[in-house]
Amino acid sequence: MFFGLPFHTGLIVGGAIALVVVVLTLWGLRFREAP
Amino acid sequence: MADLATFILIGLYFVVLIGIGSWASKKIKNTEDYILAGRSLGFWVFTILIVCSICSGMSLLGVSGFGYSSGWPGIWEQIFVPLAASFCIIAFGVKLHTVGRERGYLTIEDYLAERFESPRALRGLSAISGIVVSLIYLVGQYAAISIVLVWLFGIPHWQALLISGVIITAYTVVGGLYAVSWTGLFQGGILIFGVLLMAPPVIASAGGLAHINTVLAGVDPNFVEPWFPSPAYAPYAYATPEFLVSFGILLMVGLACAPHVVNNVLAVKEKRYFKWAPLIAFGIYAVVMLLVKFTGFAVRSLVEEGTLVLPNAVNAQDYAFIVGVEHAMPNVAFWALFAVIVLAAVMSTTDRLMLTVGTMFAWDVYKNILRPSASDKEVLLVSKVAIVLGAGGTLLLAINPPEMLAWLIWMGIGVMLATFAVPLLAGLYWRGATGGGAIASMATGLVAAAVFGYWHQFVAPLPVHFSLYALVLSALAMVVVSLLSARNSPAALDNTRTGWFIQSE
Repeated sequence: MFFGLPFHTGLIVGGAIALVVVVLTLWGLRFREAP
Repeated sequence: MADLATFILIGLYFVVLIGIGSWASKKIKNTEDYILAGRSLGFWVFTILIVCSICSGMSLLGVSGFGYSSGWPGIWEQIFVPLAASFCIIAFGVKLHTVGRERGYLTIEDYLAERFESPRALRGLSAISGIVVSLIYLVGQYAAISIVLVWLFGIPHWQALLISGVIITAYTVVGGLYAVSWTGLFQGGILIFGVLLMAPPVIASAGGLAHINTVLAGVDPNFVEPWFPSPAYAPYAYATPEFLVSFGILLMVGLACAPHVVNNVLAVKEKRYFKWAPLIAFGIYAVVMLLVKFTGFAVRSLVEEGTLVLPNAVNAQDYAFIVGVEHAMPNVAFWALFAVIVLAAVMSTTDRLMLTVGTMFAWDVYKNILRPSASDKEVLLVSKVAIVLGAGGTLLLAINPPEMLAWLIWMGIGVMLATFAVPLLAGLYWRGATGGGAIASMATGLVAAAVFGYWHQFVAPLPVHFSLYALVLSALAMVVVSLLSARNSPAALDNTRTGWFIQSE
């Protein structure tokens, strides 16, 4: 259980948010500031 | 009902907005200052402006209402909508900002006209579609503002509309994007602070998230699943996997390419802001919207346990946030703040939409099509007149909102997706996309969105969001017509940095 949610719901929703954060962080790290 | 504290706080809020508008008006020397704030937006002003442009009138009331009626399967909305800000910055922003500076674009239509070498036809079609969609969207925003003011002050609907309309129009007309962006920062700050302050007590008053989820699971076990099973077995259970895919594309891409959102990227001061703006915009927006969604869950739990009763209205679920705050915070001071945060959410989108309508008409239709010899001063004046006329017209429509208001707003987002997504994405990333293809794809998307939207609403419900069919047809039209027509000149493609990359060497 995850805050009263079935484990798979917590995993899928939490995983999706974590994935978005990781992708956007990678974007930031790989971004070239020079024009 | 409002008391003196609420009146004073809302009065102060309006005074600050007018003050920012007045300060902004002194910074405007030409059309570029008016439309793009002199390309001077700093990191936080830009990031919050993007969030505020997307975060519309129904963000607070509609999000908690959707949470109330559909539970966890609707949670994807809180990922897709914030992602629209990130998608807009990454897929459109980086390249459009660079090319926009190099080529001196004031609007996205400037880009489309040069990239597709269609200075009149595509520019005109794009501007007129953008104006129509923005006006439809505006009627919905004004209706939402008046609902809040009528509920707060008990004043007639038309008075509420007039007060809000005059104030927003005043600061937008005098201050252009300077006023819209800086009032956006102020309003965004209030929204974030207000939701962080108010949502946790509502959730706590319902016994905390774990208890709320247990109650939700007792109402319908699927309320705590990540999606509803397909096919939908009840009117509230429409968030099936296939619907969520179309819903995700609609929100993430459709909102990202909406004219009042994507035009913001041209006003950014420095390209390096695009490094972390996608993550920060997503983070702020997602936290705020998840909290609002959880208040919807909390109120459903309180209602199921018999602690609360929603008003007897057709759209009762949209009162979830209001009723939840009323229950958890009987203190009047919080009430006044609540009124201001709802207004901030609504007004920050309304002003950006009005400015977009005004500038698309003045710059794209008047200056670039009807009267190319018009002076800068004349274009500025036409912008202001167009904003006032657009505001007046939509206010009149909002006094007697069409019965299908919610449908119209969803139509608006669907049409934005079907009309603008393909020409913009293909234009930026595919050197084979041609002017003929862009016009065909835009026109096909526009017509198909209207047909499928009508079909879904009045003939037979479709399994996925109607805009997805229109988007596919729009893409097909782009590919087929582009392959059959001559490519745009290498100079046009190089000048607009067209190609399969986001950042070029």
